[in-house]
Amino acid sequence: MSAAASIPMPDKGPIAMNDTSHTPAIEIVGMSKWFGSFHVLEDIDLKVKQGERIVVCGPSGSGKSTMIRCINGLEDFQRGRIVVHGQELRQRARALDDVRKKVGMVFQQFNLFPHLTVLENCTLAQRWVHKVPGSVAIDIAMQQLEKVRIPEQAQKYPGQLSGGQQQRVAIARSLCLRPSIMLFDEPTSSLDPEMVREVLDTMADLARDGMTIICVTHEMGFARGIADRIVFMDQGRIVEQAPPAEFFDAPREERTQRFLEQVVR
Amino acid sequence: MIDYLASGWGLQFLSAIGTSLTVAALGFFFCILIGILCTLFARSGFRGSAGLVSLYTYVFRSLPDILLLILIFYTLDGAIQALLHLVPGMSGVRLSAYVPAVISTSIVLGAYATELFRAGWADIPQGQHEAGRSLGFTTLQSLVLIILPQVYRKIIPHLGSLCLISLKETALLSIIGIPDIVRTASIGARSTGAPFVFYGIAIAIFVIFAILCSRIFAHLEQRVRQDRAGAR
Repeated sequence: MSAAASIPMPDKGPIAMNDTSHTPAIEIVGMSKWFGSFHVLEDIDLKVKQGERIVVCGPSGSGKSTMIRCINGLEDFQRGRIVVHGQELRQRARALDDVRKKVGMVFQQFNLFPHLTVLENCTLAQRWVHKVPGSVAIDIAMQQLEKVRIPEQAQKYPGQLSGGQQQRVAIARSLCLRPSIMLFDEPTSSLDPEMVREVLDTMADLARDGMTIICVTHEMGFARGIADRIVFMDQGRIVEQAPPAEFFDAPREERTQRFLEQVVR
Repeated sequence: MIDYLASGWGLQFLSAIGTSLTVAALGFFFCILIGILCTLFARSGFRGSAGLVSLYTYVFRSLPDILLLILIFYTLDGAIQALLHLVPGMSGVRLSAYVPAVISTSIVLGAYATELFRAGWADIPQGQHEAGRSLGFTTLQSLVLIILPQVYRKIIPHLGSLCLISLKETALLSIIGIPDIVRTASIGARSTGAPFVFYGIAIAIFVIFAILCSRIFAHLEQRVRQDRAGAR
């Protein structure tokens, strides 16, 4: 307990006051989703401020991934609202296009395009979706590849890279579109243990740069280190949300305590 | 053999090669188009669309090609002529036999192409579609830039066989009176009494085409192999 109290927490006072003038980055209100008759998400309420770093955790099947996939429209939902930077997702078809231009997503399985080189993976959407001229797109791609510390692999194909390298390329590919929000769906879950660190370090860099981040992960050390807030989900509901120190050291809900006993020693 | 070729049969064969290659090339092109469109339709989620496409590929792969060709050829020929008669001033126009020939070849080969594309498509992980959507690609962009290039890489060896089959299929056109390679050879054999020479020439043409075809596709395969190295 005393050790936790000594962890320096970012000073939130003045930031919180400034934030009242901003619209929230993401606002989810009373969202529910069913797969057939199975209630996957139940009355989800979540507000994320700009620049805020959220880690979503919980047992598998709790709806964590489904929730963040709703934010960029990969999943449909039946009730409630999702508003991203003031744009309501379901109001009109074009809203989803606008939202996807602001929201980057990184998947558990990387999902790089195997038929394109690393560089082409990073320029394809720039050129076709954002209509960036070719040479500019390449410059931007190389900048982002340098940021994830992998510029020397630009001419290789994804199949020639390690899992950790592929995931860093996937992060760079998203960043090339200049998103203001990044969603991470268990980005390290399919990596060999020795590659987890390089991906987490890359994400920590992003967090330091002020990116709004929502990350579904089981990496509790990472959660404690970079999250402003931890959201704990179970059986399709948000059970508890709290700053990391409070969440790990003094969880209020009995379900959270049981979960933490299993994942944190 | 040189004598026969010099005495006018050479030109006959050249024009027959042109005919066969044209029908084969058009048939190959349209059957791939049919394959892609049927795959998209089968995956569109319309009620019964997948069943309808399966029925098409099932029927057209299980019946003998020669039967189907004759059936489609005469049905189409009649239908097209009837349509032309409806247009004022067109009643005197006779349509070239090549149009129904190309259409019937395409429909038969399209059944094989459809099976190829459906199998290749099923091999593409769902995550590829999702990555495309989350990067903001439209459905058409995602299809052309992300999905089809990957399907192409998976099925390219089979496309080579399909290309060969499309030329072989043109041999069947000889029975509906189109002067293709086989028909030219058989006319020549009968009128000169030298069947071995004429059928030998026909065989040589098909063999040369097969070698060229496999060379081309081996080269295409080589070109896409680099990015498959080490891919999962």
